[in-house]
Amino acid sequence: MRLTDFEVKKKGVITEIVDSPVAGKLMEFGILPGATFTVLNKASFNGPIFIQVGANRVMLRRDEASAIIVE
Amino acid sequence: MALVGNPNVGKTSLFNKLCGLNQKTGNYPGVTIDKKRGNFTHENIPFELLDLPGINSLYPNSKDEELVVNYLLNEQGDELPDLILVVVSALNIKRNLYLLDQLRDLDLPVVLAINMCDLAEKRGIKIDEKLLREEFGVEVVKVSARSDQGLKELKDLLLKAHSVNEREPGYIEADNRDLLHQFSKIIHCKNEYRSFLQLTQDLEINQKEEFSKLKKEFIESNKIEVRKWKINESILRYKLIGNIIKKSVVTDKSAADDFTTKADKLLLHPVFGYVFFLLILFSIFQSVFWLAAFPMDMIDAGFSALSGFVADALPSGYFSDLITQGLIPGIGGVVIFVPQIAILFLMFPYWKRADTCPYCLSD
Ligand SMILES: Nc1nc2c(ncn2[C@@H]2O[C@H](COP(=O)(O)OP(=O)(O)OP(=O)(O)O)[C@@H](O)[C@H]2O)c(=O)[nH]1
Ligand SMILES: [Mg+2]
Repeated sequence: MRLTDFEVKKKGVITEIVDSPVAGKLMEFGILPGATFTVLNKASFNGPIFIQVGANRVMLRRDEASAIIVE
Repeated sequence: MALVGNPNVGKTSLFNKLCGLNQKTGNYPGVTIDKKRGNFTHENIPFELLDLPGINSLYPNSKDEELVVNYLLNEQGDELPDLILVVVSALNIKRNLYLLDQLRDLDLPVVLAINMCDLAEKRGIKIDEKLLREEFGVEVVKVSARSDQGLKELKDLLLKAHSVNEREPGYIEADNRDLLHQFSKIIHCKNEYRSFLQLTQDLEINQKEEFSKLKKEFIESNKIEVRKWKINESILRYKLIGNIIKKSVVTDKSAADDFTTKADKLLLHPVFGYVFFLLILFSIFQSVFWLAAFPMDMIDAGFSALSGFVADALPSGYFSDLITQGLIPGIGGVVIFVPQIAILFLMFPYWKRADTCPYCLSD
């Protein structure tokens, strides 16, 4: 499942980062396969997604978030 | 010495405290966009400190990040700092240590300052700095640029001579180490992480055609997957940092339910978030009008009185009308908005200090 389809407030695990130009940047932020995360919020109107990975909170654009495969 | 750290960790605040200066700070990333120099003396030893823009990693993503990376990787080395003062925030130490881990591999003397310790205490975050010192092999000190905690200890640490203990590269898989070693030899680079960074990205400092050709040939003949190297670096570093954090950082969860977490629940709510946003904007608007009403009345009265006075003083005619009905009311019509604009601008710093900018990934 893509992160963009993940439900708000639920916990999940990142399984894969799709090979893309943003992949390296995401990984530098600790968004790595195997990391657990919580979706804190999704803005309406296809806006950004706010997630927490460890103690780190990151706001992602939809296209960045769609490169993250989760379960 | 150079101040290096992630954006918004308090580098400039610390710089100001150390040098007694007043450079611009703000609670959002990207406040500092240029190098700034400052001086201070401690125990009669003069120090020169360089405040730099925040960087997320040694892979720059913007012009100001590029400035820092180019500075740290400059080949000549005569401009290199004698010491890097790495600033991290105690509130987000795991991600901040990623940059420390990268800088550590450049073989420059490093001192680590863990900032925002005042807030960390409030949020129940406990950090074992002795363990961090052992694990990373650098001097560590806890500070707060807000409450002045630890500033004396930090200055004392800076006085000491700092040697570099080189360490084994942990950012590359064992199988690829030979290749990196070869590449370092080809480009005559003593530090292997420096050559790793030059191999895995195109930096401004080596735009020379000669270099690009050499690099391209090396990558192609050895079938190096540059992107994989870079991704593996992240994985390897986070694995190391994760293990260190497990041992050295404890968060008391009951204390962690702090104001920001609670405020975020309301302010980032899909419906109420927008309601709050509009409410706040509306109240700013209202208060600007309300606060500005009095000075605006004064200005209005002042200009009317002035044109009345001039009309009485001048003989009536075209010239008098030009002044009293044209010039004075014309200028008054502009000046009357000054209070509103001034109040709006005076409010900006407070507006920015409040947590209005959640951390965004890009830019
Ligand atoms: N509570 C607390 N706040 C701090 C401390 N140090 C800095 N701040 C606040 O953190 C925010 C960021 O500080 P800056 O000094 O602008 O951070 P910076 O690292 O220079 O940021 P960039 O230049 O954008 O990379 C400001 O609002 C500071 O007031 C601290 O020790 N404790
Ligand atoms: Mg700054």
